[in-house]
Amino acid sequence: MFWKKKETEIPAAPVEEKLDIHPVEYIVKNIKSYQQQLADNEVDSLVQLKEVQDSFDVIMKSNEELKAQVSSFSEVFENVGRSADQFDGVKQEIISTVGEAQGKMQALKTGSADVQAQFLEMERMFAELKESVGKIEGSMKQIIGIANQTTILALNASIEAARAGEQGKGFAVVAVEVRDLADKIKQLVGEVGGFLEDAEVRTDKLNDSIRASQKAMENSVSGVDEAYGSFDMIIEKARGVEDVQRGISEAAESAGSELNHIEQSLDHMERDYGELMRHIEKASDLGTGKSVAFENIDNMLSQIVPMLKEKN
Amino acid sequence: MKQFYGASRTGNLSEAVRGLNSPKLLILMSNPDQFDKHVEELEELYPGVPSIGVVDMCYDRQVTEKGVGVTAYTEGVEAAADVIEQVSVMPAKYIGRVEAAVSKVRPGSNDTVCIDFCTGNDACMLTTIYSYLGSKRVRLMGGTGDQGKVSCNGKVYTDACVFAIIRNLSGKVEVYKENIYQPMTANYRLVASKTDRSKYYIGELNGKPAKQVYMDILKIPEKDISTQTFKNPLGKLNGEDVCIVSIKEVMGNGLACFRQVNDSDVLTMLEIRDYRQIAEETISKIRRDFKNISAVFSVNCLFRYIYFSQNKDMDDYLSRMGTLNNFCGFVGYGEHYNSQFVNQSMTCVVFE
Repeated sequence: MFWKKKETEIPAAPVEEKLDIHPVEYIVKNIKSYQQQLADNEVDSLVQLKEVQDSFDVIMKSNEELKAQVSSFSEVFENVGRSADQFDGVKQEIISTVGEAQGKMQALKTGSADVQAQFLEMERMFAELKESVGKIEGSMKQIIGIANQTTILALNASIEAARAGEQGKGFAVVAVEVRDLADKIKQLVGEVGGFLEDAEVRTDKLNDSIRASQKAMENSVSGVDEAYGSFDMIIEKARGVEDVQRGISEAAESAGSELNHIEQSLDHMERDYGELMRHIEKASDLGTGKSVAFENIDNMLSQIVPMLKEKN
Repeated sequence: MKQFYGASRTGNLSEAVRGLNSPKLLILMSNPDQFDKHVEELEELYPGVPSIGVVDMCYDRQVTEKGVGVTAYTEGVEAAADVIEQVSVMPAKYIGRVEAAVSKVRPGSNDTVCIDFCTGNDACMLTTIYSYLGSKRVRLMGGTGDQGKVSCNGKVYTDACVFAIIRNLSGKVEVYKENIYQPMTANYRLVASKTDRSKYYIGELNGKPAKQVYMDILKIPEKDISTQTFKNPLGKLNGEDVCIVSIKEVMGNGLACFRQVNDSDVLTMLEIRDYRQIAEETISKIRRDFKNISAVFSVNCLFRYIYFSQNKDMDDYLSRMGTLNNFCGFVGYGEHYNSQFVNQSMTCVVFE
């Protein structure tokens, strides 16, 4: 390989070779053979080009189908989008309603606290009232006790009065004791009056508490009604969500089906592209094969002129 | 069939052929200084035995760089040898000699090989003779010699291709080509133009100066181009096959190569692979194709020899190939594989 082709000086040939045309015939025969190889190569190349063209046509058709499927998928997806928008609206309504319900629950909570406070107040009032009544009872017991003593004393006074003529001293004693008792009774009655006033006031207060409790209860009940109303609304809205969800599911299912079609189309296209590449590679290989045939023809042709010159 | 190999590092031909009796064909591989003498001596030692000779290093398990080596086929073959003269201009003129040699040997089916040594114009010569050999199902392997000299039947020729037609009487033959390079990952497609086939010159690749294209792809300076071919030669695409094209030097804005490149040839950039793995693959393939191997005769490109030697791998390589049984060959300046003239390759013939 380090020795280049010599240029044109042609050494003298042995005499016995001079008239032999066999080598020229040999060259011509082989050039025809290479020519045939080139022709066959050309035919194969044209076939491959046709295959490439056909593959391109298939791919273009697949491409159009794919575009249609993608477009269809886009529409389905838009439906999903619309459903998603609706879902968003419903979601906002639910959030708002829940907020309301939460507000009402808070009010209910506050109302319940008020009711509880009122009941505590009532309990306190009752206790106080009970105390007052207890005191009254105590005082009344004393009055009754004293009344009983007064009755006994009155009885004793009758007895003493019956015996007064004989002796008045015992009657005076009884009179003093009756006076003392009367004073105590007055005092007690005064106390009872005070207790009664006190009890009256506490009763009023209790009534106020009861009324306030009633009102608080009414408010709570009303709040509960309103809260129930809000929950009813939430439940109703949730049903609306179910409808939207159903719509989204159906749209998603439809989208899934479209995606399957697209996936299949892509698989087909990948296979078609593979086929196309095979034909292109084959065409490329045939192209390189041509250059070998050209070199062979050139190698043969290059010998003809020197041979003919030598023969002359 | 039997293959004999003998060598002498001192160039002593008698030492190289010690033990060789009754050869049917002789192959002489000698050094530049002693070639003419060895040709004459060999003819004296074995008069009338068909022989071909070349100026090249030879090897079996070791390389004989400056001595002499002889490969011979002693039994189980039919052989004939002859010469194609004026190979640089009109090898077709002597096609009759190829036809005669083949007729003498009477090839069967897949049992005959042509081993050749050429002084130059290899591609043209191969196109010429393989057109006939291929039609007779005769394989071909060989290479280019040094010094522009070859020998045939005791005579030295310049501007010639000497060949031996060998028929294996004990089985089949097959030829193989080994390539330790592969297309780079980027899979470049470089269309050659402004070529000069007589000078093995490439002017442009893909419409741009070939030198610049080579430098740009590999990102190397101009001064490194001539040695870069060891790692990144060019490859000429032929269908799925690649023929390596070694780069010799920069010539103007183009590249001078060791093989002709024509306009519209499609080239690619190659990169080196793991030669050990490739050698194992070659060995495995040969073992798959042949139940029994009698002998292997090969040619390794000088650039492979230089590359392996620089990496101190030559002995290891020959040792691996030696596992094939009776492996020997020569270091060539270009390799022949059927109709292909290639660079930086190994080609071999395997005898069953």
